Amino acid sequence: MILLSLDTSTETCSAALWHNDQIDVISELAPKRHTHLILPMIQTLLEKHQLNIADCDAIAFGEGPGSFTGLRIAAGVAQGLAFAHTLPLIPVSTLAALALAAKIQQPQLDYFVPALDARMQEVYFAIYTFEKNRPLAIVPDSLAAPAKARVSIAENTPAAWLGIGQAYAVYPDLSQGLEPAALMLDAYPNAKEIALLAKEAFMEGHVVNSTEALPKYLRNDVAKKIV
Amino acid sequence: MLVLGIETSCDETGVALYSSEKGLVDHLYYTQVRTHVEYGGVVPEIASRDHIQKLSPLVQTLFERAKCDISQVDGVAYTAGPGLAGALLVGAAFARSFAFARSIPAVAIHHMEGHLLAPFLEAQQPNFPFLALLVSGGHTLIVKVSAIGDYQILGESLDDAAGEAFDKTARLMGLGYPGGPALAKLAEAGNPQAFKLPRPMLDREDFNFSFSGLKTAVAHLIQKNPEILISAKADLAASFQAAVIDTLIAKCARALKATGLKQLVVSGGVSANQYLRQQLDSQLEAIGAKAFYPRLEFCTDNGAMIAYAGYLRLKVGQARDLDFSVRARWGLDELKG
Ligand SMILES: Nc1ncnc2c1ncn2[C@@H]1O[C@H](COP(=O)(O)OP(=O)(O)OP(=O)(O)O)[C@@H](O)[C@H]1O
Repeated sequence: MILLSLDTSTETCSAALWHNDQIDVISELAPKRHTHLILPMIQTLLEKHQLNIADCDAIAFGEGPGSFTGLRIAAGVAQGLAFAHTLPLIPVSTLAALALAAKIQQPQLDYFVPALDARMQEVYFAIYTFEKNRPLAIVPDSLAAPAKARVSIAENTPAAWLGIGQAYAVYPDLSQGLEPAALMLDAYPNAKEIALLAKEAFMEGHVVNSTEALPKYLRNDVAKKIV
Repeated sequence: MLVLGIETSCDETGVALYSSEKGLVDHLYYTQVRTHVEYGGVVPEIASRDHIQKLSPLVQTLFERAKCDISQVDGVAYTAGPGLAGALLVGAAFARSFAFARSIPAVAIHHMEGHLLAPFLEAQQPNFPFLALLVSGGHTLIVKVSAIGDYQILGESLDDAAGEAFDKTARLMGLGYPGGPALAKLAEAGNPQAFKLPRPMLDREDFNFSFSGLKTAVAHLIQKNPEILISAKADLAASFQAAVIDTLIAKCARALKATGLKQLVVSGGVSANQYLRQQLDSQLEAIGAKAFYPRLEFCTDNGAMIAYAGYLRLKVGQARDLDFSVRARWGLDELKG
């Protein structure tokens, strides 16, 4: 199968191509430069493998949580590419992608707790464990104050756990008094793990069409009503 | 040549197909106006969220309704500014990626150029060069249009845009948000001479406007005598409307004289105003000039004007690279042909 994936949910911009049972990735830490970089990255990957968008079986994207604008860039690009050739789309959780990246590096651990800075003194976080290579959410992707997230982590990690993401650096409160096996602070969601997760989802038929592929913001209270 | 046009700069999602042979094939739009009512104004984040939800289904319906296949599209045009950055990005990302996947060119369109060219979608069209009055919620501009992309801004509002003045005054009068059209409706039944309101900047030689003082004048009137909102609401609306429109027309007439031009294109949300159209038609006739308007539907933001502007630019080989950055602020006079 041929699967293209992209992610622009954080400061990292990345694209990946699953082709001939191998993954090829282009990734760059590039705050606010996603609109410049993402399509050229996709073009470079396709050209290298002598493929066109139309050759892809599906397109995956990081649905969130993450920067609202970044999530819309990813969803907009994915929708536009998919609509052009009526391809199926696979939205993938950015937190699950972070968890998988960590699981690949530290396969001996059982619990993975990715956390992203949600601003306004809150974090996006989740607790994942793995069944073979398939992530299972013990605590689903959530939005919470760091102290509340910490309580949830304490309650839901019966064995050694790994904290993943810059939120642990931004909010020391998140892991205060807890004893993570390690913290991987310098981790960002990446199209590589999004492709790997999407591949499984595709096999199981979890796809949507271009009108259904939307960002997962988690924060929905974004403005005050006057009435 | 068949061009897909996409507009998402503010609170309208607009899509259209324009054909070089058949003209406008079809267009569709979704307006978020009601969504923002409970916030008392457009909330950028909510607008952006709505665009990403509505755009793709709208484009799909457009192709179905027009009985066109996506393989027939030769190019894509999208609004790249000015407007709300987050909202613009939705249209830009979708449009640029669609074009990339189809291996067809895409072109980034200036929203106000779209408005400026909207009258070319009608039977009655102006010839270059002409003068344009762009009056919307965000802009009040008098522009000398010598050719596509050759725009000289002769005058603009130094504070509130004309549509903004309508909306803010409507709110003062308890007409809700966005109250411009409601105020205009109410004015139909009123006497425009009932209240003496200033004609701002008319004493100045230039072609600039200032509308925020007018709003303040209305606020003072209401403050002095709240009764007028009951006894003379329509008169107040008519007097306010006349003050804005007299000023717009006087400056346009002056600019026509100064440039020697005889054609005036009037576009943007406020160009839907019937009093403006009536007054302009009669006053321009008196000086041997003529006004051109888009159909009412295309006065406000729409995809048709973007598809048409895109067609003109694609026709001469212009195209955007794979970068789909947008510009929240972007001067019309920065454009080239
Ligand atoms: N009949 C009318 N009389 C006066 N004003 C009107 C009328 N109809 C619409 N408007 C005003 O037009 C504006 C909307 O126009 P439009 O959609 O072109 O502008 P916008 O998107 O707010 O701004 P821009 O196009 O500059 O980005 C609003 O301010 C509205 O009140």
